[in-house]
Amino acid sequence: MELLRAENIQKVYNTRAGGKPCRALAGVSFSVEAGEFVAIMGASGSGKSTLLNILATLDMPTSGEVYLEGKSMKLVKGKNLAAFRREKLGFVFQDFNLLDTFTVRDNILLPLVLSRTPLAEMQRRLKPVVDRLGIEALLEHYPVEISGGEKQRTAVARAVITQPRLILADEPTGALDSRSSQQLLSIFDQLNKQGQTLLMVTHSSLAASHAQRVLFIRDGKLFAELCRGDQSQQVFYDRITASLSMATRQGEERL
Amino acid sequence: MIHYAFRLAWSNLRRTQNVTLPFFLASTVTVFLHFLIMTMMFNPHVPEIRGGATLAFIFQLGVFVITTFAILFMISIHQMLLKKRKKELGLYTILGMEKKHISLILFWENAIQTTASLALGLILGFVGGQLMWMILLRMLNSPDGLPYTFSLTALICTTVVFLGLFIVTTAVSLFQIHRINPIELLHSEKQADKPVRFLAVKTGIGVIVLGIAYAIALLTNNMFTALMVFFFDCLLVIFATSILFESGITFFLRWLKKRRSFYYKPNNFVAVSMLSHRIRRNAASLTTICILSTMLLVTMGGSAALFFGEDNALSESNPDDLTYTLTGELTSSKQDELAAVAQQLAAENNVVLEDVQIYSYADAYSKLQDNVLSPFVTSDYLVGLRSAVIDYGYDVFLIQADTYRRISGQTAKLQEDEILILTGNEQVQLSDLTIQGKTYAVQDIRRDTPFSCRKYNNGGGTNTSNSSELLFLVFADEASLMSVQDYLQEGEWESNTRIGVNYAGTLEDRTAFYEAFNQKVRALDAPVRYATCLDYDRQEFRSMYGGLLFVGVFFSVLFLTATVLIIYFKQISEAMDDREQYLILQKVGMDEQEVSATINRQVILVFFLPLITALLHTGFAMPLMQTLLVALKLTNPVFTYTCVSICAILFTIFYLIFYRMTSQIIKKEVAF
Repeated sequence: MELLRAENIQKVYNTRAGGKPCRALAGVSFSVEAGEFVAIMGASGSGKSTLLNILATLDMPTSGEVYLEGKSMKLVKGKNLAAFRREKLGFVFQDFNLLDTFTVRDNILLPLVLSRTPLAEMQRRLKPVVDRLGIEALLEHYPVEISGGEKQRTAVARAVITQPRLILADEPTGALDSRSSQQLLSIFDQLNKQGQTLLMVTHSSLAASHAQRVLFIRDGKLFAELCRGDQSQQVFYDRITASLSMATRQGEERL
Repeated sequence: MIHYAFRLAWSNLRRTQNVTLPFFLASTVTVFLHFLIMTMMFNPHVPEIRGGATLAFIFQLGVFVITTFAILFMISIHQMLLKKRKKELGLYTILGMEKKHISLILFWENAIQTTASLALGLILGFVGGQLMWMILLRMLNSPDGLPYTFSLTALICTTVVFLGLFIVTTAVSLFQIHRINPIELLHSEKQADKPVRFLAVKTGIGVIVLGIAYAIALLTNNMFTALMVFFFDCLLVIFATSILFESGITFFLRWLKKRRSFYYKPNNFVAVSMLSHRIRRNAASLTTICILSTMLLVTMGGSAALFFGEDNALSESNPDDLTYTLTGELTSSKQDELAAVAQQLAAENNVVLEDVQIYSYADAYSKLQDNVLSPFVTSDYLVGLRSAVIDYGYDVFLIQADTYRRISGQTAKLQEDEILILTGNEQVQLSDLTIQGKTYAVQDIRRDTPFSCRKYNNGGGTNTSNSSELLFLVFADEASLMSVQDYLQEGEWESNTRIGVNYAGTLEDRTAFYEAFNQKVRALDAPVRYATCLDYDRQEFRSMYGGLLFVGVFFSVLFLTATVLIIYFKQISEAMDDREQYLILQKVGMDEQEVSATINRQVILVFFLPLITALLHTGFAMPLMQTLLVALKLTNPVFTYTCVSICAILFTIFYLIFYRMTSQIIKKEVAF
């Protein structure tokens, strides 16, 4: 089943008065099946973050449309947008985006509280999530008191607790050491195995090699796609790096 | 580099104008007020105003308070702003500026601010001073034409004070710059406040201290104690407020967090967490806001009550247009002679003589407890916080039945062991009275005789009907009076004569009559011990209360400026701090309405907690204030309370408007 479909998305930023408009996305189309783990790779400035923001409804495309479960996101307006984001999507950000003023527990519960979930239901959902992510002991701590890896796991817990259709991850390993990165990626693998759909934006080949499919983006356009198939993660990793170095070369030649 | 630093400083000031502009305005207002009151103080024509000596003293007091306040206020605001900028300054160091360069920038920023506000404040002070002087003269009911003079001394004083402040604040900034290291600077804002410890103990202490402070305010019933405890009581209240704002709010927030069904609601959830996150900083600024508001309300209410209560105060101390108390008795022929003189002078000076009352009496300040009358001894003055003066003290006038008959024209047949009581005090209800073991039957209590009902008040003496401490005892004859006089005066044997004159006419004629009659009275054998003249006292009162109101308004403007500035800075700086948090919240799925509801909840606490506490403090301060005002002859509590309440309402309205304005600013600041 097709979960997400992006159709010819363009995004043009108008720079300050008189400046030349800047085209961040030049017609991007792709789709994500339910249960898939997709990575979007690209260098800095390739437009991948803009794309993710549009998919996340944090930003509006200049033209083109995004469909979630066959429904256009354009139709979701104003007040409902926040609820939509909260219930259908889960976010994991590079800089965690945890609230300093909340304990780990409250950070995780935040989206549920915003949806006015009954207390008992919140408790019921919290338990398995924190168990799975191994952050049970941290519940009463504040974000400043825990490590980067723990923060990111908290963020993941916050993303999955709403049981979203799709988890969007923006450079989730960007601020983590290699051990924490590894841990986080295996959590993603595990989530995916349980049927969770994931879409991750990254420039790390290692992170991308955990996905089933990798889309490459450059200068606002998708230019290649790799499928993992039955290959091991190691083999897939090698293919990704090979494609990347080729793409880089091509890019330089064009210049 | 100097030039470059200047340019950088200038652009810094412009870039952060939502902070620098209010600060600039507030310091300008402070300079303006300081210069204004300095100029008034040094005006050589102040002594020419009637009551000028009082006015001069009030001005000196005003200068002292304003200077002290300006110093404290400017330094603390400066500190606050510097703290906010640590991150920016850290960035400068990392970008390769040396500390001396940063110091130079800070120096220039401060110099520009100070010069600008000093210049503008002085100009405004000079221009506005003229207007203020005219208003002051009008308030004091003073003859026009006393010129406003520019005072170089005032200019120098104000300049010295604010340049001094400039040097101090710059020095503090430089000192702090040299102490810090850049990494620390960059991260200095992130940390949460340390949790408040010994919560229950602190809250308990706060409640107890506040209770004591309130109890003192309520129980003190005399001005001697009131004067002594006032300052101490203020300190207690400040201490209790700060401790309660810190531990009490924490306590409350923790309790809210424990009530999960309340806490896990969208709006409460975020607001409660954010508030407990910076509880200490909140507590400090809330205390400041609360205390400033209370000071403002008390000052404003008190001075307004005095100014507008002038008639009340006047009639308290002036039962008649003109009164004299002479030492010694006046023979009846002399009394008649004086009455005739009054008639004659009235005719000469075109005034209508309404009433001349002359009688001799013996008086003693005495203690009336239950139905026993005894001499008032020194040890009775203060019993704890209360004074027997208020509770049992009466000014007892002993007169003979003859005198009573002559003055009132009413009959009075008294036996040797019978007395008649004349008083305006409704609370005196006696059927018999024991003096020195001897019990007298009270034949009647008369409340509407010419002794206690005078032209301007119903107490006949110093107090209004309900609290009048004036009590006339009428005895059958001289013999029975004298034994009581001997006992109550403790053997001093003093008799006095009271003269009360009432008359109507134009102010000039009245003054002429007063001067002529005064000469005659002063020429009598019996020396004048005490005298009041309504017209004369009115001018004195007006000068004193007008001056007080004037200075009171000054203080209020000053306190208001400070309150507004602190609230504004607190709001704006928190909005900036919280911006990131609100952005995250919106990313995670909070809609705009919820964000604005959350902001409202926080802002409501910041605004209304200090307001309500300030109103409460003011409410409890009122009885104490009233006790102090009695010293200034303002004895009508209802009037004082009304004045303070009106001030409180006006202040609340202003506060609400200001609340609306700032919450708009904050919402703009955190917009997605």
